[in-house]
Amino acid sequence: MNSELHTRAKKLIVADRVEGISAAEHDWLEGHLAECGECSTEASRVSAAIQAFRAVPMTASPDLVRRTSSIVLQRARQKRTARRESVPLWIATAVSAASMAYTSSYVWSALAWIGRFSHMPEILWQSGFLMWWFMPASVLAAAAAWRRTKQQNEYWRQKWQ
Amino acid sequence: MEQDRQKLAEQLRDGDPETLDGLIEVYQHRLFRYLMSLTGNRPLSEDLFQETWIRVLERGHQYRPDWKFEIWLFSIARHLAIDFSRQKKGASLDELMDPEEGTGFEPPADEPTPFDRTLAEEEATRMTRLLDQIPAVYREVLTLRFREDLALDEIAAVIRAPLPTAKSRLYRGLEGLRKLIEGGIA
Repeated sequence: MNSELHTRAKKLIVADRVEGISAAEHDWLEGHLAECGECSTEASRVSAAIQAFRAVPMTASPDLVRRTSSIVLQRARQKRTARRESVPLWIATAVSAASMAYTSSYVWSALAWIGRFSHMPEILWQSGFLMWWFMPASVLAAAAAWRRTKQQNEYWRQKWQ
Repeated sequence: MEQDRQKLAEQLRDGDPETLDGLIEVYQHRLFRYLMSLTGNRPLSEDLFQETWIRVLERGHQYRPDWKFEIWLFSIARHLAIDFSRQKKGASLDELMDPEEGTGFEPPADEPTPFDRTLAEEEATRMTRLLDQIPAVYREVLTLRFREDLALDEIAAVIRAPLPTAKSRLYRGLEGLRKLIEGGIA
């Protein structure tokens, strides 16, 4: 038999497993394998190699799955709780931003009047205005940071437990 | 199918605990097998297994319904494994492998006798040592193709490589596997 036919058959044997071959190629290969012992043995070897590869038992241990489930579920519940708890924080942020936008000019005027009335240095009442301006954002940021730290501590505590 | 994935995407975005529990149950062995193919190291695969599921929870909003879940899952696992190997001062995945590892495979689940179990463990260990000789890049694609039955384009998506690269790795991997197994059996 022509050696080119064997070469083609061997290529098709592997290609069939890797990317698939056309119906015509498949029919040709079947016919060739029926007649050619060498190529038929080659096909059996490739099948045996894949079979052996598939047969290696490789499973996650039940304990690993249990631990993983427990950590992930706990974390998922924490995330949900955190999301629920963050709603008031967002509302507070929105309310504080809106109130600051609306009241800034009044507070500025009021502090300026107090400054003039009490002969306070300008820098002092202006610093007071800045403190008033940043106070809500600072309080909210501190609350968010505290919550995040608490969640992270909880996460690591569970992970290493 | 598309609707199922759409629903799954919504549940992942919400971080739904029951959905995650179900996914861990369904994909436990497939993910673990894939991680073993990448690392060849059981304790490391166990760590990455946990990290992968935590990442699925954290990045659930990034899942798109046009992806098969397992493609996304394997991509996350691969990313973590590569991150880990980079932390080890640029060690390749192959360098992470210890040929003496790999004795921790589970026995088959159908309650074999202690003798059968010992035989199976010995065979598994022998096969694992053989497979450890295949470089991780080839072992990975072989696992995705012949154990996970992924299509070539799906394999290319997981390994983030062009289709011809995935294909050539598979051809080379299969050739190497065949020679190894024949050598190991002979």
